[in-house]
Amino acid sequence: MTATEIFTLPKNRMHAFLGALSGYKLYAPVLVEGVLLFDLITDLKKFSCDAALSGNPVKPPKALLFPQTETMFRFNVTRDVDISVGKDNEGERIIFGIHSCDARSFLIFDQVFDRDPSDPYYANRRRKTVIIGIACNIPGANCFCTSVGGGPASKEGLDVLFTDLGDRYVVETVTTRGKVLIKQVRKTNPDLMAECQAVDIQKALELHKSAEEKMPRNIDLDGMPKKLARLSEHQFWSDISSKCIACGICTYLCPTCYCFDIQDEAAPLSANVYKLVGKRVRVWDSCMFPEYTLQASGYNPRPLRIHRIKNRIYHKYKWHPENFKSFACVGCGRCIDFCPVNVDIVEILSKVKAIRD
Amino acid sequence: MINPYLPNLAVIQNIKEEILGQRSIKTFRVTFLDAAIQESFTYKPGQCVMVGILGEGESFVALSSSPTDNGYIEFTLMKLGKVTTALHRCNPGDIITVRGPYGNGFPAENWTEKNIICVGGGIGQAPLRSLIKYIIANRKRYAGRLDVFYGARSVADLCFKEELFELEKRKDVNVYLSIDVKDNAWDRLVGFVPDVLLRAKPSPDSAIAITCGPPIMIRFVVQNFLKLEFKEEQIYTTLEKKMKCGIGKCGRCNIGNLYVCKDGPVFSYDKIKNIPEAIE
Repeated sequence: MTATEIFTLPKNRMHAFLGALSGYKLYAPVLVEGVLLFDLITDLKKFSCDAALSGNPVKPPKALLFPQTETMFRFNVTRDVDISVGKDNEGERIIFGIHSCDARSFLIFDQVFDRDPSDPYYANRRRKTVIIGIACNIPGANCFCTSVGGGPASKEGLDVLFTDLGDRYVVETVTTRGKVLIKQVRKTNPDLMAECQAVDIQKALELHKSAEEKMPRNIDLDGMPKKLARLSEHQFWSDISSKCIACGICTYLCPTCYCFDIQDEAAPLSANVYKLVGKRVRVWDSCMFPEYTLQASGYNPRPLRIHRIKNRIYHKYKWHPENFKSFACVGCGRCIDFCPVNVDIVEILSKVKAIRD
Repeated sequence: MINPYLPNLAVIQNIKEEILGQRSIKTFRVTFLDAAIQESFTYKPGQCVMVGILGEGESFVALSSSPTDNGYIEFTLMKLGKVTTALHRCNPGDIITVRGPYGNGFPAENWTEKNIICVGGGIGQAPLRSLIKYIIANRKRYAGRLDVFYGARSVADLCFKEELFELEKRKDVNVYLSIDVKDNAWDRLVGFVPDVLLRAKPSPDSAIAITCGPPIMIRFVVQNFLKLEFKEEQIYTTLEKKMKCGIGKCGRCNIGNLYVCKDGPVFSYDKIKNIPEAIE
């Protein structure tokens, strides 16, 4: 960590700023057929500050580090057997305009994918990615980041933090990496950013505070792991799960859900002999699906929705915290926003709290 | 950076048919193609590997050989799903994939002074075979009693039959072989494994009990060990779950906050007794 440096950037110079980030692939929120999504910016004209700031992208940015489908290696079984990993073509990247909740999700991914042992596919992209966030001035209707240890302007997981002051941004470096990046921009564009005035710093802090106060959903999760431990056989779970249609959207849109499947895709070269070419792919999976745990014997340790929903809640608010000292949830609210039958995780947790035991 | 998902190629040296029929069981003896990998591949009894066939996928399986077996590894598989069925179609000389070893294995290094009681059923004997072979190969260090209980439904369902008959001849091992139902061709014990255990009444003094087998058997064996006044932390078992990665990342094999592939598959009973999904 390093002493922060703070600048201001006029909003109408944003394209100049992004243009100065040469040598990086740039990913940012853009409207794709009316839906806000993280996308590769090949033409800066496609990027609009106002669109990027209009809310949190529908899909979290996890696919940028952990693609929904990726080839792990290719194989060739003919007379010899050959396994080959693709060349690493991934260049340095920047994710721009990410909210603090999504940035924190990468720290949760790190806990799983970047240790004991490191997952090389994830770790490689992670090391090559600089993360520039934008403080969230107006939380969404189902946001609850402050309840899970985050905040609308949390710097955790960020290299640089932008705060929108209307006609200009306050640009604050968080890590050495962020500092180096901003230095690089200023070197090629000396007039782009000015030292931030104390009054602007103050304004940014007030915006951060006011966003926190505007947080629409709040729940005190202190003691939640212990409370859940006492309720594992409670009737309550049956009531909760009867509503769920097990579509899995909560897991696909969750920035912290990382479960995956591994599958072989192969084309036989001969009908009779074991000769083929193919690849081993990794794809997102979901704990909401019965096949996720179905064993070859036919036995399934989590055959019913009640088991699977409970597993999801327990994983996020009990087991992951036991293993890594943080909730596997960043409070982005997507699972609530997009659940087709209004399963509401904050409501579930509130009910858990309210159960007298 | 090391890629833990990249498997090593291995060649099948020998296939032993343990049990025939619909749910047949075979023991595969394999050698890594790369001699350096074969040389450096070390493991503990109770540890597992991901075996696979390119184009079909991978399967998590306990090693049934002992670390003291040099120059090869063995695993024993029932023909059940996609990958195990493909492996059962293989012949000696075929190339398969192996990565690992994975999991914790038995804490056998702490058991040198203990009386060790192994209770196996069906294919569950595979990891116990590794442990038993390991103890016998290190019999000077492992000076305590060694009791081996093993049972199956019928004579035709006994895994590692000849080896167990050989084991019976040893003076330093007490072997209790049983089948569930009386058979005229069988002159040994008859009855369910948990009952055979109860009748034999092994003492809990300075003992370690390990049971691997069908979940229903595990449940009753554990119950009976408790009846024989074994403490929960003296009783060990191995768990089985669907797995894909083998390294605690893909998510599916969890029981509570533990991952069977990484934190298991060996657990003492006190650690898992309150986890509903642990034992079927």
